[in-house]
Amino acid sequence: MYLTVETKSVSYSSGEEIRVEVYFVNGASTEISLPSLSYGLKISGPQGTVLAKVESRASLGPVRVEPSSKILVTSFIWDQRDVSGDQVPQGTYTIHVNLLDSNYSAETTVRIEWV
Amino acid sequence: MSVRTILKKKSSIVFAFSLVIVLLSSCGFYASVGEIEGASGSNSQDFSIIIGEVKRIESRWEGEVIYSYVTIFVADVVSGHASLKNREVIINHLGGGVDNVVMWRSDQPTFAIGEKVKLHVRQVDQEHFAVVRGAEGKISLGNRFESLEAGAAAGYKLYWYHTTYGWATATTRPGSDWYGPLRWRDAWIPVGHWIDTTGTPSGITESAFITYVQRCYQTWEDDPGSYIDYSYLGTKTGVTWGANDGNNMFVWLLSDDTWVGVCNIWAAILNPNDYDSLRINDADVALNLRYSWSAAETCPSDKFDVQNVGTHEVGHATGLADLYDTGDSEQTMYGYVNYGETKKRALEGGDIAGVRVLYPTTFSYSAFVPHVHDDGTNWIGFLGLMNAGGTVSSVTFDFYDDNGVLRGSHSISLNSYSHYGRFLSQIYGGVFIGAVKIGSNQPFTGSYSQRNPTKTVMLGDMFVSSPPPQVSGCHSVFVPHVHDDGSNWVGFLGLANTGDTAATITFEFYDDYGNLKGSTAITLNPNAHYGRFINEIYGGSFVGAIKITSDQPFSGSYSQRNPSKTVMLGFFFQSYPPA
Repeated sequence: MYLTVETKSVSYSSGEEIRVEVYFVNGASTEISLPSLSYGLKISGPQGTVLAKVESRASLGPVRVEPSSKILVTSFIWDQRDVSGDQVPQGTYTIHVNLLDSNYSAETTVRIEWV
Repeated sequence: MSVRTILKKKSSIVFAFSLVIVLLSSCGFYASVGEIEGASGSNSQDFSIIIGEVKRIESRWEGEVIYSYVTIFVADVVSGHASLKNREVIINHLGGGVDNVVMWRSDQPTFAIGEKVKLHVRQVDQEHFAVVRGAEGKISLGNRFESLEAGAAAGYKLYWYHTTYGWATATTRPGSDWYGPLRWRDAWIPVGHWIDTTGTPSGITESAFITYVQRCYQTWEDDPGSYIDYSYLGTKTGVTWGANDGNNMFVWLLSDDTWVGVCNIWAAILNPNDYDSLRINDADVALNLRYSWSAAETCPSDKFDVQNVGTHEVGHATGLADLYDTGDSEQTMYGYVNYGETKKRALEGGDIAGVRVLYPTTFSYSAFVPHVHDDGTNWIGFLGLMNAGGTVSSVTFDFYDDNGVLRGSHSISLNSYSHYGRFLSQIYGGVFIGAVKIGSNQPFTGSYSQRNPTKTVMLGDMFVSSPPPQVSGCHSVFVPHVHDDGSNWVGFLGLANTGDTAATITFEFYDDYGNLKGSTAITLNPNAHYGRFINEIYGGSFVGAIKITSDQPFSGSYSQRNPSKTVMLGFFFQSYPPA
């Protein structure tokens, strides 16, 4: 079982939208239950944290993930702007996601380059 | 050499010796990082349980794998080798980070510098220890070396952020280098919020939706022990839910069935050098149209209640995280909701305690009643209070159990000089044994009395807020609760002039609403004594509070009994300022 953060590419032009998808993958042969799919996100670059957010979700009960399947935790578009709304400078940025109520985390990196 | 570790606390034992190596290089290669189950355990019986703090972490390549060496200062030894106390030990475990390569095994513990931990360890050689049972042998502790897991029983969790590890929820700061707790900056309070009625389900009017959503925010404002405040700005459409745009929205969304309600919070670190500078930038709430909803006083058993789920979500927007311990199932912030459920509309002790940690009201006047006992059977408690200040007061009664956990809170408003007297079970809302903390923005006096139902035994005492009430230019006492109805209870007041000259002493009698119902004055020589039944001083039956003022200092006593003289209470008091 693991969390995965996926992007279409590893390199983006400045200002280009970056679509990020986060999945929880159950590679086991048995169903797994997660307390929730609430998650925390941080995007950090050479200057430190540029974006951080949490998304907490109330549900009927634990989220069940079928054997050998994956479920979408969240997907979003990062417009390369920081928390103040400014375009981030070129560099390598790490997109880190962790589930708040279970101990799964994942991250990936993307490079932003001036065209 | 750079050092990185990945925070992870638990894993179950499924696979043997699983290993993952994650490369985070700058040349464009990227990969997703996941948790791998692994085997763990130890056959050694010779282990110790230690409590300590992580001081240093060093990671290095050893052959094809990375090992970390974690230096821990042992503050206490719970069991095992007592000689470990007050010395540093080095924990050796597989995993860690060197330069841009990170490796971890899910069955191995991970550490953060400054983290307080409880560990099951065994010595593996002269210099090093290993954590017994791998990741399961480590428990993160709060700053006061209390288990974070146990902390959840306090009934609330907050959001914390680490620049390396991301987000965590815990009652107390997970480590010294974690930012938080997440909350609104004071300058933004009251926090404005909008409602988007787009998509309101049939069967719910837009006005009903707006009404019940406003209640969700109002509920968090209502506790006088916290200064969080929201301001409804109106309806708004066309705003993207979840955007970091400064519009705090409450909307309908259609999504999959993995959630019923959701709150998205954008955060900012205002000052990287200040770990208490994590603030909310934007908080949006949504209810899932995948389910059926109700916005009414009662909720059908086949629908979710807007106010119930909404109050929970606004709790997130306020800075409180989900709870999943079944011991917290009555809290508004419990993470699971049910059809027809409405209990989350009202805050419980943990919710109140949490919001007060984030936005604590500083009461100008307070008092503690150390032990009250009202079980409805063997003991009955009665609390009397008088607002001795010049303006309307906001008074909060906080009820704490034997472990210091806030179990409930009740707030009232009292007019100036008005009297308030209730059985404890009426104030708390049920039987209660514990302590009561009283806070107010005005000075007050109070009395607590306790008796058995047959009125054959009774005790009581009077207390005064800190700082105490005073009347400018004279000596005074506010007797918070007297009861002389001529049939069930008889009250008796005794006074002595402790000044050097003759005193003019005035008695003013106030009812429950602060209305002056009667007044009388006497003259007392120095050291002279005065003792009368209340109905003699007042001129008839009276239940309420008395303000006593004098141009000389005085002391007094109040006693109360039933006519058959089978039960009695009494207490002494001194005028303020003292002689």
